[in-house]
Amino acid sequence: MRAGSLCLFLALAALPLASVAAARPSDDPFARAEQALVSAYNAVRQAEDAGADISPALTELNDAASSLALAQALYREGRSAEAVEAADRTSTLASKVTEDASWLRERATAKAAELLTLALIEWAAIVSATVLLGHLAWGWFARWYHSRLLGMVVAEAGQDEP
Amino acid sequence: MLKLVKMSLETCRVLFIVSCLAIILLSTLGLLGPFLPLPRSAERFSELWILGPGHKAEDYPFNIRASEPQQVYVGVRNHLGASAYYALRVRLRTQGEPLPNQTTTEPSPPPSLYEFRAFVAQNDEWETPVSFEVTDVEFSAGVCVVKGLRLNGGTLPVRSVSSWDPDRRGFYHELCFELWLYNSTSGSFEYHNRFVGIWLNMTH
Repeated sequence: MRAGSLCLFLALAALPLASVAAARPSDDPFARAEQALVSAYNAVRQAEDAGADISPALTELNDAASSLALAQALYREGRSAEAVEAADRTSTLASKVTEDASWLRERATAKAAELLTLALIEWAAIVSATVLLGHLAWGWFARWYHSRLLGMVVAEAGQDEP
Repeated sequence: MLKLVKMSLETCRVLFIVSCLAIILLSTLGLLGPFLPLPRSAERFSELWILGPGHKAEDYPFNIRASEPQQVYVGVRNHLGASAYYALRVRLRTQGEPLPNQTTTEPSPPPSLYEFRAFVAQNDEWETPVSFEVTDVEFSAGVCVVKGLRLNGGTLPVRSVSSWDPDRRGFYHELCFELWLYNSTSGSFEYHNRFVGIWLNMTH
């Protein structure tokens, strides 16, 4: 009974420690910067898939990646405060890219929808014009063909008569 | 005669309808083609290169001494069909340590000393100068131990032990650059089966 109580006490005592350990990655400026870079890249990919021009966003992402490399270099040299500052700058830059990419994606999606509507209208106009003009042209051709045929029959019948 | 003429008129009608359908089909492809999800058949790969200090594939550093700065250029070109997130990991290996395995796509065992990150657009490239300098090296009884490497201004702790190569008469270490690619599905970097490196002969 006493051993069971002890186990329960230890388990309860370990709970806050476990929650602190789980929360650590988000408190780590380097992990936060890494996560921000990945989120920004995913947002940029979505914008790219939607047909947006992502070149400026990639340039900004490379700036953010350079800032993270600088942070890691500063950390290795023991300049922790400056390293944290550089890592935070990475997170800020990456977050801005994420926002810009969302806006780019929305704009690209709207533009694509607009272009598709325009293309469908053009396509419908071309199909209608082809059917209508085809019908008229066929009518004219059939009349021309029959009149020519009738003329040929009459002329040949006249020649064949004895 | 009339039957022949009638058949000929029917043929004309069919030709006429086929022509109209062809015009409709061509206009459909021309106008709606860009919106259709067509499969991309082009081969997808990444280029990785290393150039000497003159930005050419020559004059690579080879015989080097401690505290002697060297420079190379490393670049990546993306042909993957979409933008890519690359990591370029730098390792220092010796002749005894295995190369990355091309079959199993396993990287080289020595620890990564430094990592470059690059976001590269489709059909675009990224290149960076890499300056390096062996800061601490020890020679003793047929063994050379590299203990310190300065890379792009930052000093890195390293321990790379090479033995005297009697055939090539030197202590050889390879500065190896491995290309890793971020996989959005797994949420991690994966070895992209590409590496380049230069052999360095440590001298007194």
